[in-house]
Amino acid sequence: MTFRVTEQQILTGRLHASAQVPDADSLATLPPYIDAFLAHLRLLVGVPFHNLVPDARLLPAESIRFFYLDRSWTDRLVDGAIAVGQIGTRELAHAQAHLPGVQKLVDDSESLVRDLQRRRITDYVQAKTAPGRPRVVADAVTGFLLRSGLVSGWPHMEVRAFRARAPLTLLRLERLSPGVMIALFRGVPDRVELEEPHHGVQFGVDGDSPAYRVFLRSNTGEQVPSREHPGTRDVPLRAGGKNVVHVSALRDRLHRAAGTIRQTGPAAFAISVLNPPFQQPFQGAGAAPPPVKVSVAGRVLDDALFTRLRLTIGGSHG
Amino acid sequence: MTEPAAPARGHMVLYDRMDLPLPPGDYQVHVETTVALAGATLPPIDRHLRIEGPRFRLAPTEVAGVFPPRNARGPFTDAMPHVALGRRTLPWERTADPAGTLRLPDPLPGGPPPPTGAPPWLALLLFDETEAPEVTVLPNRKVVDVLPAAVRARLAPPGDATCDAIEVDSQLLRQLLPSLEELHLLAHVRQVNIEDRELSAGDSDGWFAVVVCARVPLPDRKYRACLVSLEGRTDLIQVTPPPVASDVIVVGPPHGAVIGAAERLVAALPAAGTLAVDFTPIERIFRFTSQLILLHSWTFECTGTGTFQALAEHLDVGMIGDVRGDWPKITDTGHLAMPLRSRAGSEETVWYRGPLVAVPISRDTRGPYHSADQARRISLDTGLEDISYAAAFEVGRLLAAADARLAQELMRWRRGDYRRSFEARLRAVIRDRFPVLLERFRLADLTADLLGRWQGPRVRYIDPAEGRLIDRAPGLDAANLAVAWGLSAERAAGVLSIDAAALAGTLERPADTRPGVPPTIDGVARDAAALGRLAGARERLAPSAIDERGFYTGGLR
Repeated sequence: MTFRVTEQQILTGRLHASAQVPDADSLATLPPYIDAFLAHLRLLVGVPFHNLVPDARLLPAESIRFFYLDRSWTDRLVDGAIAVGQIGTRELAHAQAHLPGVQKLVDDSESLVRDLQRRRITDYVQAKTAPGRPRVVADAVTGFLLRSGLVSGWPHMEVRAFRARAPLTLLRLERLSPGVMIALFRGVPDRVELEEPHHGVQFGVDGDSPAYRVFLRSNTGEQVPSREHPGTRDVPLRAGGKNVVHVSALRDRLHRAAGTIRQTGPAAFAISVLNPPFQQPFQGAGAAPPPVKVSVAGRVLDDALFTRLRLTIGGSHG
Repeated sequence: MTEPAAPARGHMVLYDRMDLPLPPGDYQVHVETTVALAGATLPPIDRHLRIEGPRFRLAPTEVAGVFPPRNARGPFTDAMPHVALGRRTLPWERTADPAGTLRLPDPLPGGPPPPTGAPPWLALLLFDETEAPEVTVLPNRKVVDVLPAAVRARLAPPGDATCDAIEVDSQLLRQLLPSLEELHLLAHVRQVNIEDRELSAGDSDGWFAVVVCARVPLPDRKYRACLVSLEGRTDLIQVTPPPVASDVIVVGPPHGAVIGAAERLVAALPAAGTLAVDFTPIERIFRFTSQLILLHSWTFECTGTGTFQALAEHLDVGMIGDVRGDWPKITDTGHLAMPLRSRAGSEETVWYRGPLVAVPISRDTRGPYHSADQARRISLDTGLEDISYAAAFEVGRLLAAADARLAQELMRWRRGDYRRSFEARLRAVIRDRFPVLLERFRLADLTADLLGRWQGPRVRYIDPAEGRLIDRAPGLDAANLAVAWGLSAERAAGVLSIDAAALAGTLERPADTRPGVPPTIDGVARDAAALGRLAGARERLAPSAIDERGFYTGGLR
């Protein structure tokens, strides 16, 4: 007479404790590759463009469209990814038990995606477990799509978002095609800025040839009399039609403009022809409307299937 | 000499110029010591030293950055090209006018003060290369061949020194080349914070010499920027800058002879103002060219997509779902009606909305979902199906399935959990069913031992029938227990199944081999009874059942 654990007993036990292992243990051993993959997925990396914008007229040429990210939609992406290789009840039960935990884990991992994409992070695990890194809980994600010559012409455009003057974390900034860019922020911004890319400090003029002008500047480079209403001077060009700035004459004109930097030498002249990158701000109300309930007021299409799965898995639904 | 402190991040400090305490050249150090002691003398010492700096060539590493970027395409139509040099004193180490023969014109009344010091020897020139290049690059020329005789005599370059050179139309060069005053104004020193990425300080010391070009690129043209040496080139540098375009009165026919130019000039004389004569026609006839030493050059293309500002200010700004015009029709919830061929093959119209929405939407807490069908919804208002989330599920599934490594990692993750689940189960079985074993062994040791014996292909943790495996564990098998402990088969089975009668009697325990009670060799040798039992047990086991590591591997039914 030998003691036996029957298969029946094992299966019953498994269904009663569908988690199989405690959630914390399972998440601790979640391969970092999966974590990183899902975090990328959450930020729509790889999602076909026509799934984002199902009709081209929703994003016409030379337009910018701001949006909130539908977290339910991205959660379904993750559900779908985990569904790969779910062939039996055991995999199903495993997913049922640990997917909510995985979703929470990925909420936190999202913030590492941008650094991964820019190769600022080489060791994902180390970066994620770095002691100083603040853990992130789910928050609203917003962003914009930009279809414009700005995207193709200025590949390193700076994008910044602020809320109450505090910068928001940039989760993703990527060109989806030569003319379309997507940006994702953590939180709801009240101000978004597109800034001409910086290639060091630039010198230059404003306007089109031959009607160039320069803005008058103080000795700290600020536009005078004010940033909103800067004074300007026309830029003299050399004779000969080669579009060469007449530096001496320009300096003379700038010297005679009151309230600007005194033209004492080359450094003063350099400040006068500074051409700081242009900044385009987009101002919003900043107050997000209260969240709307999920989806079109809908109900489960196939209630029977949903119930059946629920019974099979034996877990509880939140 | 103390350096000024680095400016704060995002700030920079500009300086007019930076002169070397000793410019490059040959020096002689002469030391004479006067000794105030009768009859004692010290001979004077002469030492020679040479300070060298870039002259006819400039290593690419000296160039810290250029703008517009090398080989870039972009709308640089409002930029004055410039080059940043990592050696902050470079533009002033030599001079365009070593003999000091050129005199700046007197400043205009009320005008800015003239720059001071010797004029720098570097200038950045911009040449149009769209159709007929304005410049010809001549690589690896002898310096002596490039410089005109007068300059050659003044600079006395080594006969074998080589350089790269450019050849430019003289008249064009006069239009492009900075005048003496402008040469000063177009070079300065910049100090930035080395932490500052924006100022592309890189791994430098934060100091740069910057040379700026006065020519502004035009749209849809290709350009070559050339950093040239003007050392000693007083033959080219104009003291009075060329006139301003609007003040010029062009004299003479644009093509052809210049006969009668003087008469026209007199007739065209304005009552007051600047007068300049454009000698274009004369030079068209004779075509003079000049050669210059080229230190660094790069090309870029100016494309005409308009300026950043113009594009940015005219963007169509809106929330996602804002449609200009009547189409496409979109619901106030942001859904779009789309045709769909259903599973049954019929054409249907369904609602779809992507992940980008115009209003914040609360997160669905009903998940997780295990199939796309779970996420299908019916819109009560329209009776149409909403496939948005079902589509999301499928997109996620397909993206994951396309990634071979992800599938493997998912499998690894699940297997790991299944294994741990099995181990936990094993522990539970031992704890609950075999308390007798726990009297002798710690639970962790026992579990580890049992698992250790199972390393190998035989073990399938995801096998749902793991109960059988537990039952077959060597330590939990009645027959094995009987052999190891010297029990009768019935007694061993009784112990394992916690049979009351079997447990009632006294168990005859083998010698204590628990780790932590170190047996001595003497002690083992004295324990004849234990050795006898061991030998007996071994004899009763098939020899093949003990593997090379000494583990008992037989007995698995």
